[in-house]
This record gives sequence, C-alpha cells and structure tokens, in this order.
Amino acid sequence: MNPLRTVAQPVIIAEPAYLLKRGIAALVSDMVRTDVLFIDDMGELNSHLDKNKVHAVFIDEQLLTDKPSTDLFFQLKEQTLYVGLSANPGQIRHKNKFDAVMDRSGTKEELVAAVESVLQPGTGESDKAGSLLSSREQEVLKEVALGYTNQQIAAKLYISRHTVISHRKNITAKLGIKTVSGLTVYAVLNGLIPKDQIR
Amino acid sequence: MMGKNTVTSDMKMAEVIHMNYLLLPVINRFGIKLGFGDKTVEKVCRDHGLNLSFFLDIVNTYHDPSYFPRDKMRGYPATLIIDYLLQSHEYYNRTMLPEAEGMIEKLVSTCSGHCEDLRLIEDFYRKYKEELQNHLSGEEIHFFPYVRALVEGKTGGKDLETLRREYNFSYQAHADEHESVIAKLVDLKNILIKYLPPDYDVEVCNNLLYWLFIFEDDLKDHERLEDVILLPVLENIEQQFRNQQ
Repeated sequence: MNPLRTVAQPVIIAEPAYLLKRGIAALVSDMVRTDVLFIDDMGELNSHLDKNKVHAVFIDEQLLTDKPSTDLFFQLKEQTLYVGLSANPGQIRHKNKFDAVMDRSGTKEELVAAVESVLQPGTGESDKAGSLLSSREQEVLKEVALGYTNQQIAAKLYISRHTVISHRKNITAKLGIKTVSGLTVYAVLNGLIPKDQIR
Repeated sequence: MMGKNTVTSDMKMAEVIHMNYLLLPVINRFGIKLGFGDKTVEKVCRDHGLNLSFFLDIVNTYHDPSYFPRDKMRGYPATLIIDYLLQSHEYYNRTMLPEAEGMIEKLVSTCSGHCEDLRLIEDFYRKYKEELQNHLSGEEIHFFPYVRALVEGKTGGKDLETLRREYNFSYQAHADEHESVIAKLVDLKNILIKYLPPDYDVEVCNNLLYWLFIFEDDLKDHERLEDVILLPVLENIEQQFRNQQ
C-alpha cells in the first residue's frame, strides 16, 4: 500500500451531526495524513479561516443561512477547497462556490469518491492522456461527450445518478476539464468518440 | 493591507507600468493613454477627472490578488462600477476575443499534421466566444440597465419582481453564466497545455497561451468585481427600494 500523502494544512469539518462528522473525518484520515478540526460555529470558523491556512473545509449547507457570515466564509481563500454537504446536492445553495458537493445520505462508495476528488485530484503524472481514466470513467466520459444527461447516463450504464456525478467529478479532477464542451473536445482528441457523432 | 508593491497616489504613473505592465489595459479603461511623463497617479487621475480612490482600488485589485477591500469598494456608487465594467466589456470585445481568435486561426493555418484536431479546438473557441459575447451583451442590455433604473428611480411604480422580470435579471442565472465562461476558458487552456496534438507551431501556440492566461486573470478579476462588489451593492439598493414601497 502506498504511504499516505501528507497535507501540511488542516482539514476543517463544519458539521453539527456527530456521526456524519466522525464519518467524514474517518474518510479523510484514510486518504491523507493531516490534522482534522471540528468547528461548527460560523463565527469561530470564519475567524479561524481568517487567521490560518486551511487545506479544505467540509461544511453542512445548514450552517450557511446567515448572509453576512456566509459571505465572509466564501471570501476568496484561493488555496482552500470548499466541500458542501447537502441532503439534496443538486439543489445546494451557493453551488458554484463549492469545489465539490457531497450527498449527506450517499453510499460509502459515493462519499469516498467525493472525498477523493477533493483530496486526491489527478496530478497529471501520466503522459498518456487516455490511460489517466479508469474504463468506467471513460465510458461515462463518452456518454457525456455524446450529449447525454446524468440521468440518461445512469440509465444506460445501470448505475445511480450519484455515481455518475462522482465519476464526472473524478474525470474533471483528473483531466482538468470541467465543461461538457471541453470534455467533448478531449473525447474526440483521444479517440473516445468520432467527431461526426458530436451533437 | 497596503503592501510595498501597492500602487499609491504619489507614485509616478510610469513607475506603475514598470512595476506591472499587465496594468496597461486596465489603465486604458479609465481613458488614460501612454505618455504620462513624470506625472503622479494623482495628477493623471485629476487631469482625467477620475475618482482617485476608485482608480487605485481597481488597479490594486488587478495587481495584487490579496488586495481586495470589500467593504470600502461596496461604498462606491453602482454606476461608477458599471461604467468601469462596460469599459472592460469593450476591451474584451474589441481586443481580447478577436486577438485570441486570430491566434487560433493562425494555429490551424500553420498546422502540419492532425489539422482536424486543431479545427476542433477552433470550433470550441468560436462557440466560447459567442457564449461570452452573449453573456456580456446580456449584461449590457438587462443587468446594468436594471441596476441603473433602480439607482435613478426610473421604476415606473413597478415592484421588484416585475422589474426583475422585465429586465430579465436573476442572481442564479447570472452566477451560472459567470461560472460557465470562466470554466470554458480554463478548459481551453488545459486542452492546449495537456492534450494538444504535437503537429503545431510552437511559437503561435505559446503566444496564444500567454494571451489566454492574461485573459483569464482579467476576466476573473472582472467577475469578482461584479460578484463580490456590485451584486451586494445591488442587494442593498433592492432592499432600500423595498423599504420605500
């Protein structure tokens, strides 16, 4: 087994539900060696973020109800990764401010994938672009490039929509490409789909 | 927050450019052109009838990513911010987008092998350009006039929801568009950097990439000014409007 990567700056978990916060902490500790802090008071959290460098914050969207403290929370801290926790990740508020969103009721596999996509993003070590992706990720990418929605891809590949979303997050983290049109260009350049199949 | 590299009112404008030549187009947006002699920033601003404090804050936010005095900047009149944003739009439309397009066309025309692949990237860029232009003109036609109407009290006795509908403005749609235009630019850069087929002209592509990096930084600063300064200012204006009704 590879030794765990060490992350010098701590990870903060801002989640009032005890089991959930312990669970996320366990997932994080499985993936990287780092300090984990639990802060679920927005005032305390903002003051900590103001004074310290933080690698990532996992925050429950329920804590983001008060506008001034939410604005302060999202003030540009470019090196910090923001992960939102929501019961309904598709509808999470401030969606575009998060680097990743986790489903509070997700399966272990989905949660691991989400934590991985944030803490172990692809570093582009391999020169062979196509080999960066797992075969499942390549299948999902192909469908994305062909213009199918997450729901349609889930039905075609017999997986849940959340799993499709997890794969897509991983694809984006590995390739450094986020938009459907960008992924389509990648898929054609790498021979995953022929050019004439682009919608 | 003033670092030693902060642009200050007593600096000579020429020094500012020596310190960071990427500020040139930003300064141009205020109607300032080269040939400042030994004039200080303050003198140049006075000669051009500019708000010195606003000029310094804009220049410094572009110059230093850690410089961003939110509360102070939220105190500037919305119309002053909009006037500046409009000048940036013009720069993107007149210079940034066509220059990048020209470079991509050259990249395709100098291709010596997998030209199909480069054409794909050209298509991607063309669609991106169209999307960004639509976004910019949407702001010019709907968003900015909506803010101006509220500021100037030209609301015709209508309520906020009606006005928003008439000006086709929604915070969510605005945020989504911003996210998309930045994400596609980042994608384009990564496609070139990581996945470009090898048969291309190195010099042309390097120039294109330099240009895209500058464009991305400019666009991000521009959108930060809208999202973190102008939108909260607008929310205040909307609140005042509600209170008056």
